[in-house]
Amino acid sequence: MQELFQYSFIKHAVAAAILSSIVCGLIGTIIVEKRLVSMSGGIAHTAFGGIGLGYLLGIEPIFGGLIFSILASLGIASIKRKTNTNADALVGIFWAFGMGLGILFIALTPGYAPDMTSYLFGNILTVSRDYISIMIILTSIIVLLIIGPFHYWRMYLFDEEFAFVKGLPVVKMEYILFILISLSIVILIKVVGIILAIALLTIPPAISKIFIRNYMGIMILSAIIGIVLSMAGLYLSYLYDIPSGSSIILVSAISYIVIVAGRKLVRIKN
Amino acid sequence: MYDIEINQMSAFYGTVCALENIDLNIRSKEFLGIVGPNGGGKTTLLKVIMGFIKPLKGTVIINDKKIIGYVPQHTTFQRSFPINVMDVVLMGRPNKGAWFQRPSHSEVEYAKKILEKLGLLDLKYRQIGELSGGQLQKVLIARALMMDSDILILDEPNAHLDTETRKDIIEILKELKDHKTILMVTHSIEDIFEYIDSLAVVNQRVERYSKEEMMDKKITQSGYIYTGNPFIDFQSHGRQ
Repeated sequence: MQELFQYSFIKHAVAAAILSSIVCGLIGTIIVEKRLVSMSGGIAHTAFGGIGLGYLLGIEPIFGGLIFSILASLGIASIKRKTNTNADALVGIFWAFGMGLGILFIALTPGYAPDMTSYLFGNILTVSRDYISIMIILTSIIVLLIIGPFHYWRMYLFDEEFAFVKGLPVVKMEYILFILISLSIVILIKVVGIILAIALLTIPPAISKIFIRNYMGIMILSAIIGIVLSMAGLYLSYLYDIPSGSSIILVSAISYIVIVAGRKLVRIKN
Repeated sequence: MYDIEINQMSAFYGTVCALENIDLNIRSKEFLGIVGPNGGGKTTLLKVIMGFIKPLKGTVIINDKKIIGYVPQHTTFQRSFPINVMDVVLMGRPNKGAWFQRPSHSEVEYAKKILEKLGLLDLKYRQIGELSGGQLQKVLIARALMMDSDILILDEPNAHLDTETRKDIIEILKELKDHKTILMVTHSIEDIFEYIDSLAVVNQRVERYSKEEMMDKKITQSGYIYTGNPFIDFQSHGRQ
């Protein structure tokens, strides 16, 4: 096991797994409780358009993904507020539009078409030192903005109207929340990919909720569970030479099923 | 002196008019009952007063920057939200605008005092998902009391509750009546008829009745006070 850590790509992978698990703990809990799972899926897939644009313009694709996902989240929030349009329909439009643009931009990129597999399904073993630096900055922003005013977030998430009456800027909070979701998704793209990001955001909080019924407690436990699951997935990926993104997600999903089933069995026995 | 002044106010949802040309002044320490059919604009009126919905025209003035306390319907809550009674009540403490703000000892003690008064002290660490509808409604009232507001707005706090809990809630309002301006939407006007100072019938427009007018034959004959059926005559009131 020790020899594994001699490789810098393994060290980077472990750092990426820890950082993404912290993000998943905080933002994933909010996504699950506020029922923003499909919205987050839409934002993640819209990011693909930005990644394609990044390739076309010759800039770091992840920056394109970051800009697209932020614009998508603000667009969805703003249109929903102003027009009362069904959020689900909007998410679907953004979802397909982002993917469509991504495919178009990649087709227009001169030379050989780049391999998009690592963006779609993730490859934690390819995370570079620079990417870790970006992850540290984004994770720090998310942690600070969620933990600092946590009691305001909880009030807003529990009862938006009451939060408004108490003088909280609920519209701004909604936009900030969506931007933070976008940042989280960008952090996860290299780890598990656009398609699987939503699973890593939702599975650890879903497991934590089984054991803890305190909002902050769920966030912290989710982060810990995320670290354990992604490490286990990473190890299995190394052991059996399978893709890391799918390995992490499969370990997470199977753990959730086993825990839920085990809990039911214990209840039946008691 | 009025706490709330509404002048020629109209509110819309998209192109649908919810409230039209509303004039309504509410005195300080007045207890105003609000009745009307479903979809008549009662909750919209409350939301406009709280500033949650912006009127398309007209003005809504809350004088002297009075603090508003709000008690929503308990049925509108996601009961699986991971939060206990004490944390919900402490949401009512004043915002200090600071981050990492933990409740002070005196705030916790005040919250306990309110919970004790409402008979909820034993449930202070209970998850809201484990409460009955009546208990949750009382918790929401406790949260509003924690705000120590000048104006208390309640949206059908007695809906879907058993008779005993409804009585408890009316007792709480009875005690608050002389200290706060109270606006309460209800479908059971008979519950609060004895305590209100005036009644607003909301059905896109607002018709207002004083206590004396309510006792008038014309109003009592309309049925919504004594029969307990608020739907009988609302269609002919308010909407012109």
